[in-house]
Amino acid sequence: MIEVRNLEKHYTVAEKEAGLAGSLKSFFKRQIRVVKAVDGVSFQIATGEMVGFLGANGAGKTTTLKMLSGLLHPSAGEARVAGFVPFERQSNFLKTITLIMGQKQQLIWDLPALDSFLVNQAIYEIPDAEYKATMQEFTDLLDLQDVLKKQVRKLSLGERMKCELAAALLHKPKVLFLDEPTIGLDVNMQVRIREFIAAYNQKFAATVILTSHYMADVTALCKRIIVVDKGRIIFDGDLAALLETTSPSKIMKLQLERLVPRADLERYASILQLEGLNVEFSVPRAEVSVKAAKLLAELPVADITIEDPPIEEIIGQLFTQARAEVNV
Amino acid sequence: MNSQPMSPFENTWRKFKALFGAWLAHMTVYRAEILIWMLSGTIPLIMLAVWIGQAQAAGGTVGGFSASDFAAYFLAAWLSGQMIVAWVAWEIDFAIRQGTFSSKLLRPINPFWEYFMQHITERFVRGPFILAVVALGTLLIPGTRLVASAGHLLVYILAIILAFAIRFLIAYCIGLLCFWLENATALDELYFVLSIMLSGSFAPLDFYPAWLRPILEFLPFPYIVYYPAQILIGRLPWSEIARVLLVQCVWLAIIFVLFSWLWKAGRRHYGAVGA
Amino acid sequence: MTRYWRLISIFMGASLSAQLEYRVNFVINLVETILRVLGSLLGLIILLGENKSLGGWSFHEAAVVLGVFTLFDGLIGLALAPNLNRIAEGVRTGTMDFTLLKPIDSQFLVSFRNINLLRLPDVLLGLGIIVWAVLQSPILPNLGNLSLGILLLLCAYSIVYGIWFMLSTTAFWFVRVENITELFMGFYRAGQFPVSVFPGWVRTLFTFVIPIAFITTIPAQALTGKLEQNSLWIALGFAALLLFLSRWFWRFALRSYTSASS
Repeated sequence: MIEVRNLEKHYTVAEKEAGLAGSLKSFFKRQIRVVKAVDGVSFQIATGEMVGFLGANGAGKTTTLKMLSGLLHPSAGEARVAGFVPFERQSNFLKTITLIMGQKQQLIWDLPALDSFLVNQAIYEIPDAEYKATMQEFTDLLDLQDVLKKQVRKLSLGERMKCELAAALLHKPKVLFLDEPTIGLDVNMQVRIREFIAAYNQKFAATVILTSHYMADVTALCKRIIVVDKGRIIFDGDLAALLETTSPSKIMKLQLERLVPRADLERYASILQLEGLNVEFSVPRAEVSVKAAKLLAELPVADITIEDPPIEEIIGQLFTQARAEVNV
Repeated sequence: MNSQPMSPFENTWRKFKALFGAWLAHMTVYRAEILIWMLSGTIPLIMLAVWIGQAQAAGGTVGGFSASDFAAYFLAAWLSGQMIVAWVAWEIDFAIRQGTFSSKLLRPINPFWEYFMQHITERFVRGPFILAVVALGTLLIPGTRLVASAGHLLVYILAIILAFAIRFLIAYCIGLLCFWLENATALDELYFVLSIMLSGSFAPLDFYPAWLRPILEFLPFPYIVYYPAQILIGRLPWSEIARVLLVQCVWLAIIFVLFSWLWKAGRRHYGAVGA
Repeated sequence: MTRYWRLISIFMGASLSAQLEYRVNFVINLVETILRVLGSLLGLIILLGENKSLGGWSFHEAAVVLGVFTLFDGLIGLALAPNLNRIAEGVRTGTMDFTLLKPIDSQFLVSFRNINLLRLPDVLLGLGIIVWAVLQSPILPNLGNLSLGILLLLCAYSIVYGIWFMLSTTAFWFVRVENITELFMGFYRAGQFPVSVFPGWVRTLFTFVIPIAFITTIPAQALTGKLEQNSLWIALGFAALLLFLSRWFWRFALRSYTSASS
C-alpha cells in the first residue's frame, strides 16, 4: 500500500542570534543553514497495517507524513501510496487518503460541525445513502449526537477532535496519516479516539501511520513501529521483538511478608530497588518462570508481579545506542 | 462502493450548493463584523461631503458638477467599491501561517472555490446594508439620480462582476506571494492605497491633472470603480461603455494568466519548503 | 514614575527586536505611507483646482491639517493599536488574567506594552509635512502659537487615546471586537481635511459628536495662527473629559470581567 525508497527532504533555514543585536544583524544579513529533515528513509507498509512512527520532535516524522500525503515534494527518493505518486495530487489519490494533524481544523469555526460535514460530502462526492450510513456509524462510535449541532467554537477540545476525525474520515479513506491525533486530550478521550481508530482499521482494512507523543497510543494500536532519529530510521519492526532485543530482562516486583536481609535477596537476582518489604529484581527473560517459582518457594512472598520495562525507557535506550554507533 | 454514480454536472452543482449554503450561514453569523468592515471604505462618502461643500462654496457647481451630480457619482463609486471588496490575500496568508492551508490542499477541490464562495456569499449579507446607505444618500441629497436607466443598470451589473473578478484575482495573486514572502498582505494594503488614489474614489477622474489621465487609462484601477460608476449614472455613451467592458476583459485575461502561473509555481515552492 | 519609564523601555526593546524580523514589511510600509501622503496631497491639489481655497484654507494651511492627520494616523499605528487591539485577544484567550495580576496599574499595562515601529515613518512624515507646510506660510508662527499648537496636539492625543481605549474596552462585553476601532477610523479619515470644508450639519457632527475637528483642524489652526479662543477651552475640556471617561470605563469594565474559562 505504501512504498518508500530513499526518501529525503532538505530545508534551508534562516538563523538569528538572541537579543536586539542579533535581530539587527539578521535584518541586514541572514544566516542560512541546510537541514536534512528526512535523510534517506525506506520502508514498505502492507494494506491494513497499523504502524507507529516514533521519534523526538524534529526527527522527521511530520515531514515524512507530509511527503506521503503529497503536501511536500521529496528532495530525493520516491514514494508511492496506493499506487499513486503523492505529489501529483490526483483527485482519486486525495479521495483515498486523509491526514490529521493535531487540532489544525478543517471545520468551519462559527458553524455547527454538521455544516462542515455537508461541505465535505459534496467535495468528496459522497452519495447521500452512503453519507447517511457513514454518519450513523461515526455518530455511534464517537458518541456525536449531542455535538453535531453545536457551533464548533463552543465545543471542548475533545469534542472538536472527535468531529475533526469524523470530517477527515467521512470519505472512508484507505490510507490514514495521523499526526498526534490525541495531543492535548484527557486520558478518557485518548482511549476513545484510539478505540475508534482501531475499529475503523478493522472495518475498512485501512492502512494507518500514526505518530504520537503518548506511547500508549502506539502500544495500543500498532504491532509494528518505525523509530526515526535525525531523519534516519533506527528501528523498523515488531514492537514485541523490539522489547526482546533491546531489553532482554523483565522486572519482577515482590512484596514480602517480613524483612529479609539484602545479602539473602541478592543471591536470587540483581536488585533494582529495595525499600523495606518491596523488592524489584531485574530477571533475564529466559529465566523468568524458573526464578519466579524459586522465589515463591523460598521467600515469604505476599505478592508478585512481572512487567516489561516502560517502553519510553526502551526507546530512549535505542536512541542512545544509535547515537553511540554514529559517533564511533 | 458507490450506489448510484452521479454525472459530473450534478457533482459540481452539489459542491456549489454545499459551499454556498455553509458560507452564507457563516457570513450571517458575522453580519456585525461585516457592517463594521464596511466602514473601512468611507473615503467616497467623505469625499461626497467635501465636494458638496466645495460646490456650495463656489456657488452651485464645480467643473460642471452640481451637488446632486457629485452625490450620484460618489454614491455609485462607493457602491462599486463595496461590491468589489476582496480580503482573500489575508485569508491565504492566515491559512499558510496557521498550517490550515495544508488541509485545504488535501481536499479534492481547489481552495480557490472555497475562497471565491466566501466572497460571493458575503456580498449577499453586505447587500442590504449597502442598499440602505445608497437609498439614504439619495434621499438626503435632493435631485440625485443614481441609476440612469434599466439598460444602464444591467450593463453596470456586468461591469461590476468583471471589476470584482479583477480585484479578487489581484488579491489572490498577492495572497499566493505568501509562499515566498514573509508577509505579503502588506502588499495588498499597498494596492489598496493605490486604488483609493487612482480608482476615482477621491474625485471623478475628470478633475485629475491632465498629465495623469492618460497614465491612468493604462492601469486597472479606473476600470474597477470609476468606469463602472460612470456607467451606472449614465455619463458614458454606449460606444465608450463597450470599450470599457473590452478593456476589463483584457485586464481579467492578463491577471488570470499571472494567477495560473503563480498558483503552479507556488504549489511547487510550497512542496519544496513547506510553509 | 521611573519604574514606569523603565518598563516602557524594556517593552519597546522586546517588540522592536520582534519586528526587525520582517524587513520586507518595513520597506513596503514605508512605500505605502509615502504613497498615501502623496495621494492625499494629490487630493488637495485636485480639490483646490478651481477655487484656490478649501473652506477658507490655502493649500499650505490645508497641508498642515494633512500633516497632523498623518501624524496621528502614525501614532495610532505606532502606540495605540498594537496595545489596545490586544485587549480583545486577552479577554478571549484569558491572558488578561495575567495582566490583571501584575503589580502595576492595569490600564497602564494594557496601554503601553507594545510599540509598532513599522509605523514610525508615518509619525516622522507627519511631523515633516507640518514643518514644511508651516514654513511655507507668509507669516511664521510666533512662540505663542507654537506652544499653543503643541498643547493642542497633546489634547488631540488624549482625545484619540480616550476614544480608542473605550472602543477597545468594549471587548469585555463583546468578545469579537477586533475590528471595532474601524468605527472610529471610518470617521477619522474625514480629518485629513479642514472641518470647514464640510457642509453644515456634517461639520457639527465632526466637531461635537465625533470630535475629529479637535484632533486635526484645531491644532492646525493654532500652528497657522487661525485659532479662536473658544476652541482652546473646548479642546482642553474634551481631552480632560475623555481621559477621565477612559479611566472610569476601564474600572467599570473590570467589574464585569468574567475570566475566560477554557
